[in-house]
Amino acid sequence: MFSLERLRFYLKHSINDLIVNGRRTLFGLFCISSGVAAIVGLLTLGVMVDDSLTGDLQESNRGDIRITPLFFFDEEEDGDATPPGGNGITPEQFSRYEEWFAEQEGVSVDELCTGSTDLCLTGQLGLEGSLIFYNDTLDLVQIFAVDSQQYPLYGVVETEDGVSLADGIDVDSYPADGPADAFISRNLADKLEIDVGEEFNLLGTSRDFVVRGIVPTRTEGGPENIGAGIFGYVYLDQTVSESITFTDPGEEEEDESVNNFVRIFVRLEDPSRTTELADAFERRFGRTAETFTTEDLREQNEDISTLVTQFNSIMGLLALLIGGIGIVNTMLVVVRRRTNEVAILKTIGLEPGEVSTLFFVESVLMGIIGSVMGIPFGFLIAYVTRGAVGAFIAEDLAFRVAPEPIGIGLVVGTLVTAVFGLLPILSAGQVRPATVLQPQLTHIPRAGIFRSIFALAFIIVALSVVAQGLLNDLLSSEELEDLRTIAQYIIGALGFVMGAMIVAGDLWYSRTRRILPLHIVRWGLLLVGLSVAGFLLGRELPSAFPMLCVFVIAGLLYVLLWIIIWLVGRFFPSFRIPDIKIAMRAMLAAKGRVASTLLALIIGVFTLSLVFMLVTKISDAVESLLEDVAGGNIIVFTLPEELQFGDQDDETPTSIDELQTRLEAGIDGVESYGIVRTYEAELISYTDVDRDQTLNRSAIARELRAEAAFDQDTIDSFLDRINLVDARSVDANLPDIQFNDGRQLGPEDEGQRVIIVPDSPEATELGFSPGDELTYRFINPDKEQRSEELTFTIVGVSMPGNIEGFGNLYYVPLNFSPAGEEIGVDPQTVAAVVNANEDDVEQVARELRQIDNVLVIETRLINDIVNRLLDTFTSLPIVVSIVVLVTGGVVIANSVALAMLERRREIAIMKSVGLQRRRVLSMLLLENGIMGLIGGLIGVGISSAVLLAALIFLFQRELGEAVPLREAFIMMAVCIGITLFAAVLSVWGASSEKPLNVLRYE
Amino acid sequence: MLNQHVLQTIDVTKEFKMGQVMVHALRGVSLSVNEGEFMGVIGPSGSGKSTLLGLIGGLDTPTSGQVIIDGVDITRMDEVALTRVRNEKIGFVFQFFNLVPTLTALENVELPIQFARNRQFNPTKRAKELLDLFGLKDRMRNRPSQLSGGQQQRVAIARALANNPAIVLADEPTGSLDSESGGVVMQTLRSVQRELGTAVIIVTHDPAIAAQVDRIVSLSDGLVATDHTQEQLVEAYKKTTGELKPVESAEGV
Ligand SMILES: Nc1ncnc2c1ncn2[C@@H]1O[C@H](COP(=O)(O)OP(=O)(O)OP(=O)(O)O)[C@@H](O)[C@H]1O
Ligand SMILES: [Mg+2]
Repeated sequence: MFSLERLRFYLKHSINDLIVNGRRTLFGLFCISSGVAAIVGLLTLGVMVDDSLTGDLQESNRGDIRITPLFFFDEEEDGDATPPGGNGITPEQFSRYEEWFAEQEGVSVDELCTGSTDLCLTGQLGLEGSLIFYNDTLDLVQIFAVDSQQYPLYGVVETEDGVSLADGIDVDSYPADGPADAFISRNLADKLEIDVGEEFNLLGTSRDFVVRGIVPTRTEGGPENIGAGIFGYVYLDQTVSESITFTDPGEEEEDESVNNFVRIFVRLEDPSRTTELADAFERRFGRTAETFTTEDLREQNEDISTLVTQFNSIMGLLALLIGGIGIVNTMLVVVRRRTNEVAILKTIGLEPGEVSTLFFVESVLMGIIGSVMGIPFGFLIAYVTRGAVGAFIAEDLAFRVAPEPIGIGLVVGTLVTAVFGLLPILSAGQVRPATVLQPQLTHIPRAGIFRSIFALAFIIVALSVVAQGLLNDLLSSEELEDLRTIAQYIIGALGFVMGAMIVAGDLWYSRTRRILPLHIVRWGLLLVGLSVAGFLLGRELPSAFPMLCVFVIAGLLYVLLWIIIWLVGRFFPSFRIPDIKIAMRAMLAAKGRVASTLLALIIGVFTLSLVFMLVTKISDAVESLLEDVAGGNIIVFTLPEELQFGDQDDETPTSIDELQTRLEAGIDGVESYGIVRTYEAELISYTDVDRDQTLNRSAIARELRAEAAFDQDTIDSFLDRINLVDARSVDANLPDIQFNDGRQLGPEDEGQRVIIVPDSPEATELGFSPGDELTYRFINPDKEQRSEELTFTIVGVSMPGNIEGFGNLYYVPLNFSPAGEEIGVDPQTVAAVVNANEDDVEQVARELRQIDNVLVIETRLINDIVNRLLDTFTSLPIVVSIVVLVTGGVVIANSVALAMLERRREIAIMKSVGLQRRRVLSMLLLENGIMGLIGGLIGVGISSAVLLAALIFLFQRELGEAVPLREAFIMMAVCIGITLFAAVLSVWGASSEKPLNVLRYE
Repeated sequence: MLNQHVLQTIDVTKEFKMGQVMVHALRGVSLSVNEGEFMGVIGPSGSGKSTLLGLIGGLDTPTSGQVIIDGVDITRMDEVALTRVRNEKIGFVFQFFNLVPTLTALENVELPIQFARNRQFNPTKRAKELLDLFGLKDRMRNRPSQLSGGQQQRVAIARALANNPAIVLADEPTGSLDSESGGVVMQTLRSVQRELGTAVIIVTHDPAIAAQVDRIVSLSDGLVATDHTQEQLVEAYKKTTGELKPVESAEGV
């Protein structure tokens, strides 16, 4: 057939061209591949996240239904509020739950958890936070007291050697005299350097436990149990509550609440009834407990996986758009180098449309080949980064080759290539055939203004369709009404523009033709039809608005870059070095391509550096916050006497005395230290000096309530927060915080009744300011036998951080009483804040741990943990933005390769006049180095500006308001490095070519 | 009268804008070429030879004046119609051969037939015949880069003749060839004119080539300076020198 023959010609011609120009083709394909690889890789990661989150829901939830007590209300006490922590679900309640579930499922209570029935309830005792004592050191630990025979209801808890809880913990060891069996987590084992077979003790018991096995840290943990991940945990059998006496700190009598459950897990006979039963349960017991079902978990996980998938899709799209810039560059060169050929084809009878079709076929071919090449790379990306991304959801990701990303990658890759190739393709059709007559001149084909505008409008519409397809979940919700309306007008306008450009083209290019009524009808139809079609289509394309924004921003950037390159090329001093001069000239000669390449680079650098700097900023802020608020890098708490371990008699110095003695004697590496006494205090009144009025406690509450913004909870928590006041040494280790008003304490405050208060909405409302007075009643820990009312003058209002660290932000001088004056209250707790030399922190901490009955906490360790947590959350965006930047790098490599092709002749001539290869190479590197520098400066500059704006407006200056300079420089270096690497990669071959070869072929 | 001219230009001018300066490449050229004529165009560099050829061949449109090919005025045609004229009525041969580098000799010759709006020939059959005619039977499957310059130029001539055009336009067809290959190319063009009756217009610098044509038009500064048949030239020359040296006379114009 006629058309089939044409198609065969187009295909053959395209394939031949791609093969003959292998090198150029290859780099062009790389651009497409890297974009497609990014999108396939990121989508695959999304699929994997989805797999793992929606996978073992029962196992993750530890049951079909998880029941947790509502702490604030107690059925027996008729709705009276009771303090959180102590209560939980009593054993009686537990059996009522059991009975209820048995009734619903038609099982007898005796049969629960037996082999013949699947209905099973198991609980976890309320021993959540505690202290572990081993080898003379104390540490924080989380306790899971579970039924070791039943727990967990789904999946297994296994030691690293594969021993399960049921097999490893001998329940009979609990009532016996010897140590009771326990499993501990890997992170706890590492922290305490404790191993299987060794014994430890837990605060509040006099009983020893023995480590029977070590489980991987991730067994518990994840976002549900951050404490377990941070401090480590212990598994005990719940018979522990019957055989061992626990005491609550500060209380002499046995603590009843250890028999209560904080979590109950339910395995149902028929999991399909999960939601139904959970609802029924809440109707029955909703006042005391709430449920969390596998269905709830699935929804929660779906939200996360949708978030990941959408983020990945956006970034993948970004990578593809960056790759698209490479495609434009390649197609432009393809067309430019073939103007002569196009002219010949036209002289022998090809119409403009046929020439364009020819190039269109070629770009589609490139799109398909490039996409196919990119797909395996995409899977490689997913495979390599699955660890980092898995950390984000605290799950191991199972690698899987999913069909959706392949399909999407192929379609989107090909589509984007074709769309981005459009402008060069159209310009190919416009090559003047007469150029064959002047073979010595180089002709730059132009599409013409009408076609260019048409193409641009078309590209925006087409990419909106692609973006909409990729981000349909994100961009299809009902709330996007405004966006839809905007999109309608945008697409409608674009449709009109396209129509108008066709009409204008018709009028302009064939002005000699007579204007027939038929033409006018056609034009009218085009204009109206395209506008209306656009308006209708726009409703389904809310992505049009963001896409238009991207184009506008990219366009502005492009213009800016073009101007910068022009300025640099013109005015940058060349220092009379010919290399620099030639490099500048070369940049000037290809401004358009240099600008678009830089655009690609800048988008990549911008993305990565913004994410990178933000992450750094957050980590730094968290890190310094802890240290600053504490005032030192080691904090030593002393235990109250009744909880102290070991043999004691009156001769033994108390731990605080010993601590103070040791610190006074001097420990190597300690730079300074301070003692912190925490008093329980009640705010009695507040005197505003400016307004000359005094408010008592209820007046304060009234004043706050009068302002609608403060509800009762807020007022309560404000008054509660004020209940503790720290007394700190004034000579060292004061928190390193900023002040909104007033000043920090100083040595001159010794013996003065002055106080630092943190700023808060409440404090602002009340008008706390230096000079005002606060009166506290200091209460003795042994319940108000003695108390003292003291009045403090505010000297500083501090800027609070968003994380409250150790110690209170309300603090007064350690010796707040004038010399000689005695006050009759004791502090509730005493601690020391030690600031040790960075290098000696560990050593100092070890030495302090040797003091009996102190708990030594290094802020660094907490920082490490916080950082690790931060890392898990930031690994995903960083990995993803690296992928994006790599695409930018490929575009550079492509651009350099194209420049080399265009300048083969120039290079050959330079070599034939005697320039050495090294010199040629260094010149090209210089040129690209300058480009990398410009790209880095702009990319990092823009992201710094965005970061700064985010710090000020988004984070309300809570992370400070400075851009991390070191990271900014690192990113600059990365940027230049990438450009140079890409340049070397593509330049190496070109500069070593024999000049004769080039001059003969060209 | 119009009909016996295969080509006619009437007061054709062409101006190019080079930045601010207007270049008057042609200042009013009127020419008529008969069917089957074998004509040469000579003139100093920049005199407008290639420009004239481009206008005749429909590669470009004149600033003013008319170009009439086979009785049809192509001056006001749009690009699509011009493409058709080029495809059917004109054959081009260039100094640098200008074959499509990615296609074989055969495919290059087939191309104009494949893209013809109304096809007169079977592409492959016609291409083979033409290549055979020019002695390239065994090089048909080779790419241009695998052919010598002379061979490439003969492929180009075959391609120019693919749709049996009324005129073949050749811009310095021997400019890139040694005299031997150039001779073969000239013989080929001559046989095209003799055997197929196609009018051939050759732009050249080479006096030896100019001596082989039947009629010589010389351009100077965008205008026709002289227009003679070979016999007239010889006559004129004889009168001045008494010797038969048409080669030099051609150059002297
Ligand atoms: N596309 C163009 N743009 C601008 N000026 C042009 C263009 N084409 C030709 N010219 C100018 O028109 C004049 C005639 O050019 P043309 O190529 O026809 O000369 P020519 O006689 O073929 O010369 P040569 O013997 O060197 O090939 C020259 O001054 C040339 O610079
Ligand atoms: Mg010329």
